[in-house]
Amino acid sequence: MEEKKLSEKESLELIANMIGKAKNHYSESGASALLWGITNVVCFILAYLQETVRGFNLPFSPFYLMIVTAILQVYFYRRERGINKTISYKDEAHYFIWLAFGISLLILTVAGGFADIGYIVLPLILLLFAIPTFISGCIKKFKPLIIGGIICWLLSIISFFYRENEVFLLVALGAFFAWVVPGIILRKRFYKNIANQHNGV
Amino acid sequence: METEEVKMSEKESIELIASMINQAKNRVGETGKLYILWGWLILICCIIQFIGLHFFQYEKSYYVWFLTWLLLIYQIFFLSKERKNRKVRTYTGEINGFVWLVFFICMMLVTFIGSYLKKYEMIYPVLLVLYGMPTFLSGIILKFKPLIIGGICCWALSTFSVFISGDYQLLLVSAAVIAAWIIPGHILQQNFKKGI
Repeated sequence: MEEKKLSEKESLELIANMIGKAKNHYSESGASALLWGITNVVCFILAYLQETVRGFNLPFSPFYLMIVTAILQVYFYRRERGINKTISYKDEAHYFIWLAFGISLLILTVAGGFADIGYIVLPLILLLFAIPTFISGCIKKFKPLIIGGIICWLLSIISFFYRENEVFLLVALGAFFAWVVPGIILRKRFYKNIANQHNGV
Repeated sequence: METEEVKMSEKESIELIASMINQAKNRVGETGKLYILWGWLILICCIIQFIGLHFFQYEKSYYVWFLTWLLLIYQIFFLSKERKNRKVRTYTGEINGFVWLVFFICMMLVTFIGSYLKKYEMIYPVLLVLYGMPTFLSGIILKFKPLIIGGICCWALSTFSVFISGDYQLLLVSAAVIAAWIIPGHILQQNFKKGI
């Protein structure tokens, strides 16, 4: 089979097409941020209720939900990768930032649990929440994520000093601003773009 | 004076992109200079503090860490000078910059709040987790394996450090900076000199 040689114009068109195809819809539509954000909000509210409401006991730790969500995130990312074949540099960087966050969170919670570091794990979780959120916001040039990251840092500082059960709610609040709010904005923008494309705008 | 905008052909555009990529190669991060400077300084601080605490029971040996402020000031001047001379800003350089900025903010928060609350036993394991993140990510961004391995070493040492008490955690931080910054920094420097 003879290999087709592309002209410069065709090469540029091919690059533009690949960039278009490489868009990660799972992340761009806000689905990823919403799934992770809502899971965190639910987990930390349930953990707060377990600590404060007498008789409110779940047969499992609410944090197991986070493991299920993490597995789902990896599954959706890999499925998207399988469909698109081409992944943009931005999405690749994004994936590894979240992978590094996942590893750090795992080390902090598991090793911290063994070392019995106590309440201090919650402010540290908020500190870690801010890292991928702020970096993702900078990479995507998307202000709600940058603001979400900064809010997590501020809540982390507060929770270092406020050693009550309500810190669970501060973590839930951090997750809400870091992922749920940006996720909703991304989702609205995504559907607006689709509607504009249908209308030929 | 009115300047006329030059329209480029597709061929010229591709040539421009290629030349920009070539110009942007071997930026300061890739010379390994900052990894080497920070790596050695932190190693020296850790060893001095360890000797002060372990052999002389000198509680204020942590003052040695103020040396890092001097290097930070130098880095700010160095980077601003480098930014002025830079004609091309690469995407990898930009992401790497955000990663290290976030690392710096987190490190400051952990150090100041940990010291204020006198939670010294938590500072080093958390710092090791934090060291691992930008090192691992820079390795991925620069596609440079020694940094990736260095990041993983930091995480492994962090897990190990929760089982180690007091002064000895400083030796783990020393091992981490050797693996994460000093060795990759020197390899980067050698590659840069060889023009790889």
